[in-house]
Amino acid sequence: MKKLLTLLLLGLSCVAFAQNKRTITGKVTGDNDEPFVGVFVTEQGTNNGAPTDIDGNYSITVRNGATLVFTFIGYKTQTFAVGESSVINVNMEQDVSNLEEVVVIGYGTSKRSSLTGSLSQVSSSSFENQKVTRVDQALQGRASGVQVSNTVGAPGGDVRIRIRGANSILGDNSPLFVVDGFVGVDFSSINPEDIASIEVLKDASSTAIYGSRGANGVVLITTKAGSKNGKINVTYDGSVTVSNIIKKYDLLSAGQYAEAYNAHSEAFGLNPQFTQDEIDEYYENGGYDYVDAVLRTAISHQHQLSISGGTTQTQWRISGNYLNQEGIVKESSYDRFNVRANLNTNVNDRLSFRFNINTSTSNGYNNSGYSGASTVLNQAIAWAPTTDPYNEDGTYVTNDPVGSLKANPLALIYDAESIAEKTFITMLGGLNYKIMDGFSIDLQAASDQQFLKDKSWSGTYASRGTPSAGLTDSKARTIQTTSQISYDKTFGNHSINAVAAVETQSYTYSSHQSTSTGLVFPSLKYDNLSQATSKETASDYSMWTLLSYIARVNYSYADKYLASVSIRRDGSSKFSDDNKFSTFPAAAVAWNLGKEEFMKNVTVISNLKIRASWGFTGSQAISPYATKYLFDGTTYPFSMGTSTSGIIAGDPANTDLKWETTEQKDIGFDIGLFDGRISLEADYYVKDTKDLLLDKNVPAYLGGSSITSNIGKMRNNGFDFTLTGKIIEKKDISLESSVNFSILKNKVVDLGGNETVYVSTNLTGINDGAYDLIYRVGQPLGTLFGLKYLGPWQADEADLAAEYGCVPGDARYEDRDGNKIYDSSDYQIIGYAMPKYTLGWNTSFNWKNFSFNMFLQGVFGTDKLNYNRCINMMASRDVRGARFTEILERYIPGVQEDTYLPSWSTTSKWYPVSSLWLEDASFLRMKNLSVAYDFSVPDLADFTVSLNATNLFTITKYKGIDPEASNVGSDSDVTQGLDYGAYPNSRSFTIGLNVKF
Amino acid sequence: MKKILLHVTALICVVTILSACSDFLKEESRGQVNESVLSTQEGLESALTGAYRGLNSPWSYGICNGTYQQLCSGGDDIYCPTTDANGTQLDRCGVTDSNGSFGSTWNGLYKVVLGANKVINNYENCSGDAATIGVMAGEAYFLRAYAYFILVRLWGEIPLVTTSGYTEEGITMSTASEADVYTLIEDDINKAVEMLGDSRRNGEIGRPDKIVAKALMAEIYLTEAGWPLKKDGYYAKAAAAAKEVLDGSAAQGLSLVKNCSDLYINMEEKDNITTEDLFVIPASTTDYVVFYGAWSEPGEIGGWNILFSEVGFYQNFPDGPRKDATFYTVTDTGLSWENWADKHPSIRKLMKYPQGGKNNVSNCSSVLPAHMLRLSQTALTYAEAKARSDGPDAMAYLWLNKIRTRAGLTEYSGLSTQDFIDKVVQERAWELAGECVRWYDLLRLEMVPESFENKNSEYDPSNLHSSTDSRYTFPLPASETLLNPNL
Repeated sequence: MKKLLTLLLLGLSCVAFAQNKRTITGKVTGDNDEPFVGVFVTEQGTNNGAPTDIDGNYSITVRNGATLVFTFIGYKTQTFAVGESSVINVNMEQDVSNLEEVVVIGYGTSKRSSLTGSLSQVSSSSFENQKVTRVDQALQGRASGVQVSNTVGAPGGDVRIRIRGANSILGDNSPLFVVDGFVGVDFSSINPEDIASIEVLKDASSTAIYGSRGANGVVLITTKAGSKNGKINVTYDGSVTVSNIIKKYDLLSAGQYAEAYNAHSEAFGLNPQFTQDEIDEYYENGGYDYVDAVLRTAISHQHQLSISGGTTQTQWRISGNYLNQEGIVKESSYDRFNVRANLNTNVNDRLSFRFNINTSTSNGYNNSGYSGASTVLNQAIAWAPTTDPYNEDGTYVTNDPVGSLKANPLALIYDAESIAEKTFITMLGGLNYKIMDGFSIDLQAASDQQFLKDKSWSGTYASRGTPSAGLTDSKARTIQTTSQISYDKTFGNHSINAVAAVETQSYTYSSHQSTSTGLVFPSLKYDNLSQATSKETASDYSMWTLLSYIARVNYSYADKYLASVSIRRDGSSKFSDDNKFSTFPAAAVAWNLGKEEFMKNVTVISNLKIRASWGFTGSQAISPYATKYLFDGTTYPFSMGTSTSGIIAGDPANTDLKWETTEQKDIGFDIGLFDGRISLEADYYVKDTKDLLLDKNVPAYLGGSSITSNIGKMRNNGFDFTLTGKIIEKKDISLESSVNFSILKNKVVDLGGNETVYVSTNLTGINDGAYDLIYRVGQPLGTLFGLKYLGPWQADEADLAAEYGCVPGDARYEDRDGNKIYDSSDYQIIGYAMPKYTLGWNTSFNWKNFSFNMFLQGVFGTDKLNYNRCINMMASRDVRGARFTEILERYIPGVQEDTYLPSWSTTSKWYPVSSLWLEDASFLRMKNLSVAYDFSVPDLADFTVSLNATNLFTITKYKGIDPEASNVGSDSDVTQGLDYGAYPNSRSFTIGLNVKF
Repeated sequence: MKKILLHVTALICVVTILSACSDFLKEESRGQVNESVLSTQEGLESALTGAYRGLNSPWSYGICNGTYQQLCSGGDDIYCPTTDANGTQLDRCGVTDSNGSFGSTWNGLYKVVLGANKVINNYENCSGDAATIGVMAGEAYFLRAYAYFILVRLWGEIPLVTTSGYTEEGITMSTASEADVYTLIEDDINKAVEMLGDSRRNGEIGRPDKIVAKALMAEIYLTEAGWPLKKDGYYAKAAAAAKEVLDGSAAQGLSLVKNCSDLYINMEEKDNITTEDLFVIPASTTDYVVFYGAWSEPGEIGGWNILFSEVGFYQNFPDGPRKDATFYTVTDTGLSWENWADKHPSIRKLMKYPQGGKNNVSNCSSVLPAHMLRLSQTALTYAEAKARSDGPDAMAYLWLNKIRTRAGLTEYSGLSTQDFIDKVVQERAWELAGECVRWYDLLRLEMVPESFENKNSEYDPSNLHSSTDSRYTFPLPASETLLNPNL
């Protein structure tokens, strides 16, 4: 009986089961009605679900009366009640609003409307027609508060990127680049075509999550992923660029040169160098044009191919890029190969894996070493046009008998090499697992390896008799792990997003260097270093590690009231045990005023948000081992021709070094008017840096060099504005213009009891140990320091001039202490290098298939010491003949007395570090002008043809050829404002083609 | 739920492991050399080599970069053209604190001092062969005396540093009086004489031995006897020290070179060391000497027109083989100095390949030794010091006449003491022309103003020195006084 009953019950339940459940099938389609793979189809309120297959088909067994939910990230979620039909076909629609509004923030993402901090987004579409070759060009002028200066025009050359100015004196003020979560990437290894979007984090509440590395702002780059629609996309993009020097130097002709040379000799009581017959002949036949001989019209090209595809389950994208850039100085070039592969796969609706690899190998040929006297361009100017560069046997003349003291510029081009080969390999793997509703963990490990090989060679003529070559191999490896747990949940009006993470980074560097001097076979260069009279070898190792704990909570109430709190604790190996760790908190609040009921009636305003934030960021901008007293290697020859190695004290150490921290406060608002047609983002910020790391010069009697110290405080404050107007917005025609404007004020507040700290660059080699820059309390970075030029002594001031041992026409400087000697007591502030205002103005106009883009860049309120003018007109030291035509305007007693330039005389000292050479270097430059035309060939491809002009014109009072160029690399802000033969930017024209198959 | 807990636990474990792993933040200083090496003989030896380095780092610091000759151009032997603002300041004695030629010498000599201090302050606690370590310390004392001796003569009151390197107190220190500096110098040179061996260590010409230290001692005493200290009894001390050197010279293989023309052959194929060399700074392909070659040659043969001879000095110089070996006046093409752009003869001693041959690839990296102290200088020091202390003796005449004979000049005899002294001082100027000796002689004998009368006013510019300032020592470099206003 029992058995029977059991069977009956079993049977009943089977019937019941059959009655309550049913199987639904269907097909999900996406864009263009193509099958959509990987859409999750779930029964609402249960864990029951299934993904669509490759054909977009699904099958799911559900209860009667259930509701099916179709979800896919980036697409609108759709729900369907199960009715009579057992087939439900669905077409997924992209959730455009959502897509656009999600922005990447550090260790997570956020809806744009939920942002509390200050962030600028640059999407790939905004630069795709500009044929940019590097990330900095994509950033330039497209984000407020970001200043990009092409300080070096060499191919692959340095660029200075600043976000809200410079905080640090010692440290690199370049922003932190984070690519797909990997912290601290060399941006030159990134192919801009691989970029999906760039987010620039500016205020402390956004950057504090990067703690000790966030003080200079953070640039987050997200690379493109494959598509989800099952379609294969193939894109080719190529361009050819023709470049020329931006402006010609205004040089004396050979005849003028010879005449001026004699005039100089006469003024100094020397015998004339040239006879009248020679001068006449130079006027008639001209001389040798070295500048023309070393410059060229450079042709560069770039090719890029990407293939991507995927389904909702797995997406992939592979791209290759080849860039070949020629420099306008002959024999200078840069080429780069890039390959990137990105792969994402969703194993199921909870677990996903990602893997990215980027390799980049580049070859810079004679594109560095652009500073100092012995550069090709400086020597091309310095060498006398009256000197023939070749001997009768065709070899290079090694000594210029009248002009330069340095090597022949043609020998520097053809008889010398400097090659930098770089290979970067960045690999990144990660997994994301959704533990339960709202909770997910994310683990990522990445490595970045850099292999660098530097080769240098100086042949018989370039080295003038002592040919030498060198080879340096180095390897740097950074390993990063990030373990992160996130919580993201909305309860009614409350929305919480929280993240906690632990991150480690370890860096190791090793190098080996060999140098040979006195090569027996100079033509074998660096490929056979053993054949030389003297060989030196060196090796080096350094490392640092960083351990970080990170936490952040973002909260919003009804999307109206937003708050964010974060904290990061960083420990660095660079500091001694007591100072290893530092904590960087941050907080921000924002009020989406536009979403309040009472604003609903104000129809003019479509969006209004007020933001305020505060936070600490830091800098560990010291080199490893700065806390340890160490020796450097050296040599001494105790017998002729021998070499004994020894040690000499290195830079003084400071065992008490600690973190430099920056406290930043920011208030700002975003306002959108007329349905977003006009929008304005405005921010005011104050950044206070304390425990400022500073390399303090040590007097030579204590060993010289400098000691790194935490002394002082600095303040940066300023305004950033971005005003965007969608002036015309029609189907076939649109015009959008965006202006970003930044005002920045930088001030040294305290120098730990010192009034002034001095910096010597001796860029020209003739500064005579004078300090050309200072840090002084109350003054900004880049304060230029020297003698103040008062014009030439006038004829009626002869008596006073005589007290200075001068005669009328001699350079007169301000004698501040009245001791009748121009000495260090007369030095004073003569100018300010740091720009006060920067402007970027981007306008795009689209008409049918045409699109035009114009980008103007302006930098205002900046001074430069133009050492070029000094060294090429003083007719002394390294350049013994005047080269610039401006010299014709000098004071000539009795002939030309109302002048700016002093006379040549034995008693007239032309001080390099004086306001005699100071100029206003403000400029407005047409950075980019482009036009593109789109067309489609059915069943073949979509085409875009574009034409681009870079640096078309510049409005400036600066007398040098390029106010944007500067002699310092990208990291330092201290020594900006000096110009001595920097590699100038070029004016270039690019024609481009983009094909999408 | 269990699964979740498992994951969370795993994550917490990872976090804990990482944070517990305190070694992660340990700084590894592989490959770095730190202070502890100074307690070993090898380390001390390396530091001593580093101290020598201060004498010459090409184009960077030391006294072989050509600027040292400029600093000594206030004398009537060396001329710097008016076209070079730094050189002409020095040549005409109107030197300001920002003169650009200071750096190399000032910085280099202080590197010698600091390097020597490291050895001096550590050798007593150093393990190894005590005898060798003692000689090493002797070399360090010699170097420190040598460096301060140049510094105090050029700049007068200077910071006197005896610590091994940077100290916070050092940043605000004030200068020491010349008397205090000489006290240290005397101390050091006495220790050097005491501790150095009878022959150069390892047989290396670049190192001093006892006799070299004694020769330097003679120069120091001679200077202390004159301006500014004018110490009593020091001429006698100088004469005694110099006498020991001259008496011991033959035993050490030291003697005057027979022909003047063999003193400065300056051909890189040879080692250019002579039997007259007491203290030299040797050179190699990488640690070359800058002042030979382009630096000191006229533009007419590819030189840089930086150093010449005063015309007055050249014209007053007595004819003979020494004059021929001292000056370069006509180029291979027959162009004589009056027709060169700078209208001054060059100093042949400072040229490379002065006998011609390789001048077509002129350069400034010469593998030629810098001769810092020669036996003939010590001989003349003896003659002068002896004469000044108790009149010239036969030995003083002997050495003076040896030098004059070699120069192709007549021998002196029977001069009054004052005459003898004047002749010796003049002989020093000629014999050691261009070797950075004359300027110091003019200073110690307070002869700078009168030396300007030896110049040929048609070619050699006048004195620019402020008439209210009797000191001819230089102001301390602005680069130092700006960093330390207490100087």
